[in-house]
Amino acid sequence: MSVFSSLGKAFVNGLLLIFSLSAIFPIVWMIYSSFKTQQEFTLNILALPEKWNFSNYVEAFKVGNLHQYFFNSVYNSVISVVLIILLGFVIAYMIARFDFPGKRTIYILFLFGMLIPIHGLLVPVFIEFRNLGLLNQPITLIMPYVAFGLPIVIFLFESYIKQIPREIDEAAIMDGCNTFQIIFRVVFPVATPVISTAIILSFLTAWNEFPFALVLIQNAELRTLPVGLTNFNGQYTVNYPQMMAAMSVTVLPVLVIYLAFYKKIIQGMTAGAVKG
Amino acid sequence: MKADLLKRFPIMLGLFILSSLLLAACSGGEGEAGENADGNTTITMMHYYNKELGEPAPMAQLEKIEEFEEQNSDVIIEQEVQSHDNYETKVKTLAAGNELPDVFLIKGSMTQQFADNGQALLLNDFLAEKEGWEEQFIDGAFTPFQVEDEIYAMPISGGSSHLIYYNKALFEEAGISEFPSTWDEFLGAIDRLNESGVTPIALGNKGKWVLNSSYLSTLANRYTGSEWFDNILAKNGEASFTDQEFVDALSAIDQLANNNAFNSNMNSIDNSEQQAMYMNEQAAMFIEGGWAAGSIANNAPEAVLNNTEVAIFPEIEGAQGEQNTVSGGGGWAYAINPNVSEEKLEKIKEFIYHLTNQEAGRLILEKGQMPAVVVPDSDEMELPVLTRKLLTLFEESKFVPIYDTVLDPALIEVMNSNMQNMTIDQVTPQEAAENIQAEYSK
Repeated sequence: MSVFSSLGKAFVNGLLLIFSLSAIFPIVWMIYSSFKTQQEFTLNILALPEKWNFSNYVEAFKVGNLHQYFFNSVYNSVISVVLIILLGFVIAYMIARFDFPGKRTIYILFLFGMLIPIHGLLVPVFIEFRNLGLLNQPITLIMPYVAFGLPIVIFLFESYIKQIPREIDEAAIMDGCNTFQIIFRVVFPVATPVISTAIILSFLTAWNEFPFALVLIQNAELRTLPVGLTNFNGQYTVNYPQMMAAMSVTVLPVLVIYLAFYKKIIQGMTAGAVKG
Repeated sequence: MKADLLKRFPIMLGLFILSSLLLAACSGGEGEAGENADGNTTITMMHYYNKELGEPAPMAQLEKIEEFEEQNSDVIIEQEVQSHDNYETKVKTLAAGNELPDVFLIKGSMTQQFADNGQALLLNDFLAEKEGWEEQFIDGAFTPFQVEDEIYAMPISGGSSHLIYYNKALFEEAGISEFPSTWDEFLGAIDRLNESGVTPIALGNKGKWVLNSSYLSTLANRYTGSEWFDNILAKNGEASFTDQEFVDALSAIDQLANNNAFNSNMNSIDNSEQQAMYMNEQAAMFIEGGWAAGSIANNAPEAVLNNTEVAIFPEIEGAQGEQNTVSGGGGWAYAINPNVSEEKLEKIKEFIYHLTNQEAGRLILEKGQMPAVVVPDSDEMELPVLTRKLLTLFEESKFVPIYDTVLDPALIEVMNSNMQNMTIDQVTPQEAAENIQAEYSK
């Protein structure tokens, strides 16, 4: 270890540290800003709050009706994610392991879903839902979320399952598994890393989804968080500190989900790298 | 095993589709709400009034809605509340899907579209039904909601999009005893303020609309006059954006930038930050609409609030338009869904009248915003200090259209970008005018 190389290391680490801080700071800023009064925030946007007041949080729950929206968001996201993962996995398994007529077409159609811009579909979906009487139902948002969540998940699963040796399936058949058991008791556990990735991805998408939640829901009781957060925007005034309080509450579940699953992803990346 | 599955796959798929369709059929939509069984009338309505935010006009309107329900026990007002930004997206989607509520709000820039699609009821007869009602509205209140002489929406609040808020203490420190009365004096005041070490005008043009709504709409009218703008709107070929008068208006703004009237970071801060600069006494003026008065009243330190006075652009010597004009009268207005039944329409008319008559206007004024109607005996009302100052100022001025409430959004976009480029010397006023004209004549 010469002096130079350790200096170089320190320099590189310093750069990386600055970069990390610049990424983390906005979140920190959001959290401490949520304790400021509106006047404090207006006069100095970066200063720390003079005293920690929690009134913004109380107000945020009142104004944003946060608890209701929070429940709706959790309900929509969790059900959508479960459906996306289960459906996606079965479909991907079938596409990866079996040959049947029209298989390629089905796969390509699913992949097309990734290319369609959601905004272009807003009005057609709205009209379709209106004609089917599906607006304003508890299941309203789950359908588009699942539909739009499937393509990327199927793409991930299919490519991952392809790499899992077929011998595993064959061994399972020898042991007397039926198809269902092969999928869920043999292949599913092997695919944990990619499933974690898919859960994080699809949860984030469903949790943050905005246009459909705005257009397909009229009833305030079924509204989700992203739409609820905009309640802090008036025509000419925005109550930023209250909004920050509401956003701090909103990012919590995302952080929890991420922290719960990211270890699995990293494990998955290195799994089988060393044969022991 | 495999064959087994292949046989079963289509059946499963069929079952799945069938069950989802059944599910859809079972949860069929509710029918048209109108006359209910118990003789009540339900009026559906969509707006952006959030009572928790405490904005003046929305608060006043919410009180009036409640009052109407109390006075008419046989009417139920079913309200869908969206936030202001979402409201616009939603109302356009509902219009596209032909699902508009009975009563909804439109912006001036939407009037043409709703009129063309027959999605807003023509209101001229309704206005004529009430004696003297139309005369109660301030000049130009209907302009954004008109297609030729046909009125499609009822304006609620007026207010201006141009207002100079200035700190008289900082003016005095710079040796300026009263607000300049001519453009040349105004430029002189800017030099003096610069010498005294404050930013003359705080500008936050990050969103690009401030220079257009709060500066150009008023300034251009002073140079061109209203007739020129009517010709622009009518697209009759009588007026073009390359006309010398309009170029002069752009040059006036360019001149402000060249004389260091603005802060150097004008394009990276927004309108709330321009207010913050003013509240922190870093700037002697900022120019925004009447709506900023509420924010100053609520958030400015006591000293700044007490020193705050309001003014409009001073007279421009040699310009051909009227010199007491202010751009204003925009905002939102009530439109009625043309598909409502006759009986229901009567109730809806009463409802709209209740929300837009002089009494409703008085309540808006009390809360500190300018209504779209003239409020009688306003001199005797208890008003916030700043509101009183605004009212006095507007009594002597005349409203002219705000560019971005009446012009085509694509054109506004080109205008905004060119004006922003002009302030950083990327284009000259002449070039900016040519670019705007190019978009206009497409």
